[in-house]
Amino acid sequence: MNHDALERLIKESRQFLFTDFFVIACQLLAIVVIVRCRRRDKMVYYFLSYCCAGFLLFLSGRIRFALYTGKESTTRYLETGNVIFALIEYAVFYYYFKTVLRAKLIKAFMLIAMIVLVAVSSLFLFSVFFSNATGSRIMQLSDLIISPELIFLGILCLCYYLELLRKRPSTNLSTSPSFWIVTGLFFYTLVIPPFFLIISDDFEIQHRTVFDILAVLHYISFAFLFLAITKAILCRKPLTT
Amino acid sequence: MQKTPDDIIIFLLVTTSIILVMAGFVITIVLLYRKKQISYQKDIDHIKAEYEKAILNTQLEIQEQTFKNISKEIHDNIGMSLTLAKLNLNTLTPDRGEQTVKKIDSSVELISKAINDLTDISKSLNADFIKEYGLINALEQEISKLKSTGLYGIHFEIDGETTFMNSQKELIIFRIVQEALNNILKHAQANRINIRLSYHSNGIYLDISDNGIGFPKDRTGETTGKKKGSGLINMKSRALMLGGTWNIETAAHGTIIKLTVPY
Repeated sequence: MNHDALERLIKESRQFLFTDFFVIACQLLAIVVIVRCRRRDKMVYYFLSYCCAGFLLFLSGRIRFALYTGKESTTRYLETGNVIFALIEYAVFYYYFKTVLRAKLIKAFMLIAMIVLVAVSSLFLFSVFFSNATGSRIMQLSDLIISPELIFLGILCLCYYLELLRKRPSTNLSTSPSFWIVTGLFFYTLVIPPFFLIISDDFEIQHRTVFDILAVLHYISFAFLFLAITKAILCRKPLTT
Repeated sequence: MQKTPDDIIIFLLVTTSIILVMAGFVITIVLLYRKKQISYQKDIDHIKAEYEKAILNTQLEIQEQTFKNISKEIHDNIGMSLTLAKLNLNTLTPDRGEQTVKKIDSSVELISKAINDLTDISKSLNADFIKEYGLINALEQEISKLKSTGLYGIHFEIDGETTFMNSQKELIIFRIVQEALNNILKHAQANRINIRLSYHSNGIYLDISDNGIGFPKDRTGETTGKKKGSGLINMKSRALMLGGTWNIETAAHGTIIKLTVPY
């Protein structure tokens, strides 16, 4: 990485109060804790994949942004990465909630959402690689995929809380992995994503300060999710408990 | 167009409010869950206590039935055999001199003592005795049995207006006293025992104290948490089953057991 790129990366990070580095640190921490726990559990592997995908895409996105900022190809790369990550994220949490939640109707909705997400993501990827869509159009499309995906996961978190209050209260919440994971996800999915649905295309350019605040809050909630996953692993119980 | 500072403040207020509402929601969920958990734990404890009570009750019933069978066996078979042996010895015509007569007399005396002892044991094992004569008589009989050994100075005191309790309760109290006396005989190395039975308006208070050597506190299990002797556990669980309290204090100069049982 050349000097200019590094400077750009630090300048951009300073605007986000270095919360992007905090996210990377939390992702690394989660990966290290999962690997060190050495648990042969399918769900742990899913979360390891999630953390690794998050780490690689986020880190590569930051580096790409620093190297080729302002280029159309960078926007395409970042948004493609975001949508792929959204797919991985939904797949992991789909399997997770499928085990944790009991209501069959919700599971059916989850499956429908999965099918819709795969379909629209395929269309998105097709439009990225085989059409002449502009960078802002691609950003708009990816927001239209990612934000509903996150909001839907947030609704699943609310379903979890409702089921939690209905079921026999035999577990202690402070040592319940599912409570930690769902709480982390709850803040990550419902604090900022609704804003991305309502803001205009040129919001980032027109209202830079507000956009930075949005990004900082989003990064903090994203980091909190990885901290929650770390805490869940440290509870030393099956992740669905 | 750049946002004005006021707009930024409004935006920050909105996002902060959202975060606070979400945090408040999660805290509410946690508090509701905790409340439900406490109530659930109470139910579990109640069911557990009821179950333990039922188990203890069954154990006591089985124990009483066993005691009754042993008592019957002593009275009907061993007692009868000894009575017959005594009769045989009494009707024997000695033809081998004075020494034989002495031996026969001595044997008759021993058999008489054995019959008396067995009768006492039979009575103390049989719950019917308590049902028939009540707690105080049963205790007096137990005390006179101990006194007859000549090893203990026993002071039995009754306070208040005697109130009859149901025979099952009296039987359990009697078994607690028996267990306490048994412990004194086995371990205390005491020569004085005080038993005080007080009848109050809300229940009975029973104190059993001795001037023995006491025992290390860990044997009570209260201070070190080590395993209690089964006798102590039995006494306590029996007292709790009656809805009462049981407490033991021990020192180098003796031990005191305090029992309260509501009517």
